[in-house]
Amino acid sequence: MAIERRKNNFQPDWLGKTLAAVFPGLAFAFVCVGFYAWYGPGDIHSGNKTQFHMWLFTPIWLGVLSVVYLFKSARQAWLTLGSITVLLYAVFFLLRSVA
Amino acid sequence: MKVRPDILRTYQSLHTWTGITAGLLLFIGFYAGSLTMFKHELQQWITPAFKPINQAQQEQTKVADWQLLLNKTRTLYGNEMAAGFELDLQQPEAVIRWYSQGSARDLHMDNKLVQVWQGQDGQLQKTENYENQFADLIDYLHRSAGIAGEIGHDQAGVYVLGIAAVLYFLALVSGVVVLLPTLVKTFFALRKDKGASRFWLDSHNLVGVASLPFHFIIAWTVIGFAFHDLIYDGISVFYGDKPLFQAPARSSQTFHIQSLPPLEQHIAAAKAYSPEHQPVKLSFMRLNSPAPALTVQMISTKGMMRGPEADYLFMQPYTLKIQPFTFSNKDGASYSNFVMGLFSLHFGTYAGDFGRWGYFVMGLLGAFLFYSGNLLWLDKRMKKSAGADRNCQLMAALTIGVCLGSVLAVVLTLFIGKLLGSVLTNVNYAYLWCYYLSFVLFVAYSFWRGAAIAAYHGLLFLSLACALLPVTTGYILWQLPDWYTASASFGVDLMASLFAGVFLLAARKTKKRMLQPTDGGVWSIQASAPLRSTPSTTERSNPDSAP
Repeated sequence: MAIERRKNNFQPDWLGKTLAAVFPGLAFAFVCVGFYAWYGPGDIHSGNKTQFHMWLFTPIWLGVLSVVYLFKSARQAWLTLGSITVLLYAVFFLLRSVA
Repeated sequence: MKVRPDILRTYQSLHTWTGITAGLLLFIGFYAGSLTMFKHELQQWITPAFKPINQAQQEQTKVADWQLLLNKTRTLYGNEMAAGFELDLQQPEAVIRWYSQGSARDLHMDNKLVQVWQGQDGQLQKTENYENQFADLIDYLHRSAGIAGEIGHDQAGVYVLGIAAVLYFLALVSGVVVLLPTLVKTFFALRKDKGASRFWLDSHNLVGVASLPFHFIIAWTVIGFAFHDLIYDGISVFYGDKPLFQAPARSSQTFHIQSLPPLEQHIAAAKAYSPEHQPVKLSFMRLNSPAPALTVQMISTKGMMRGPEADYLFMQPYTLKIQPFTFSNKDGASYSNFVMGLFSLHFGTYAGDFGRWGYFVMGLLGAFLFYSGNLLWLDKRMKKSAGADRNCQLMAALTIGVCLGSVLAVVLTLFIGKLLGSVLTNVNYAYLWCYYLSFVLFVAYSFWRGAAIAAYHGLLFLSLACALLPVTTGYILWQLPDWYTASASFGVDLMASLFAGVFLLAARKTKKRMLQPTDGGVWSIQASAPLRSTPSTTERSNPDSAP
């Protein structure tokens, strides 16, 4: 019963959630940029687009950092962000190896 | 709008701690950023630049004069200036400048600048001086909050401010979340009758929400400026074996400065590229090499400019070919327009002088946001613990010391710098000593006397120091009656007088609040003095602590 109640409880978990944004969150932001670089509009070889990618990274990552504290616990944040990120990397490199 | 209480509490703590940790650094970054909007005016104030010999010749120097000077100079000093030289076409007379020591890119106090111009007798005149770097130092203060040292080829302070910008973004988001439940009701409420704290809180919220888009842009761009190299490294993973940027095609031919095409052709090529722009500055680099470069700074009064002062056009100086990363107003250049637009949004160069003044005000309001944020929270916390919280006392002293101390140090540096400029051979070191010494002394003073008294005295000092600036101009005019240089100082003197008044007013308000019956907050003399709180006051104000 105690475990049941803990599940519904919201835990601050400052350090754990912040670290979830800093590690899997960072990797997530990078892979999003990677997808945009290859499959977004424009030519990947254009230097201007590369500069755009650098700028695109920051708001994505800041977005993750801003909402990571909404997760119920650090564990949940790590699991969710981590699995999404791993999945995205797998898809990305699969697509690139096929192309 | 309703927000769940546990989430509200989470974001409340997030707002507090990100604000407290990053607030002081950001305060310096913001007010110094405001000053950079007028750094050339400040530079002109502290050391009047080249005065035209022939006052009557007010219209711009003709290209032919520049060409004549360039031809003469390069026959004499061709090898010296091949590494790079600069022509500032806005100057009232033709002058060629280059660095004989250091470069424009690095901030070294020993940069030596050579200036060559044509004297009235037709002979070339040459001077070599230490470059006066007040404007660059203000810029450095803005980018690094005054933190010295280097990491790799980057300034350490820039990284520190980059991290502060991440915290600042979190503080913005969490501040908005905390405000959401009451935003609609109290956004425009500035309640003066509910006590000073409420008035400060209302102002803090109003300024924060009203300038939110500006702050999001600043946070975003600062992180990009600080960490772009690391982010590029991260992105390169996804590029596979493709390079991020294509290396420029290197010419097999080595060029030589003596075969440089006439300036007229460079100017014509730049004008042809963008007719609405006016080329104002030509910087030539690496002229005796296979990879020579020319950067043309171009000003447009009608449109947005993408650099801190101008748009940049890159040209091969021998073939006149326009190079990549030059600004573009053409359709289809959406990525480059977006990227360069971000620069413009940070530098405030999209709306002429209105934009400059707007950014000046926004920067000061931003500084107010961090100052008031820190003090509001400390005040609340000290009242709760009734003056016994030593950490709060120290933090309050640090807040007053760093914020007022940094501003005071800059104003004193202006004052000392202008007086010593003509005495010392290299005044840059005097700037550094004066800034850091005043800053450290005032921070120490703040810890000694406590936040309340330090705030009152600091504001008085500031008012006095600002009032000294126009007096200095008057003194120098009396010593050396020269109305040309005096008139170039007028704008800064006017603003300094205005701020002297503002600081005096603030000092009087602070004193009034200090003399009110002590409430145990930041502004009460006893509660805020970390080194002076005697045990008796602590005990009296905190009866619950006894077992």
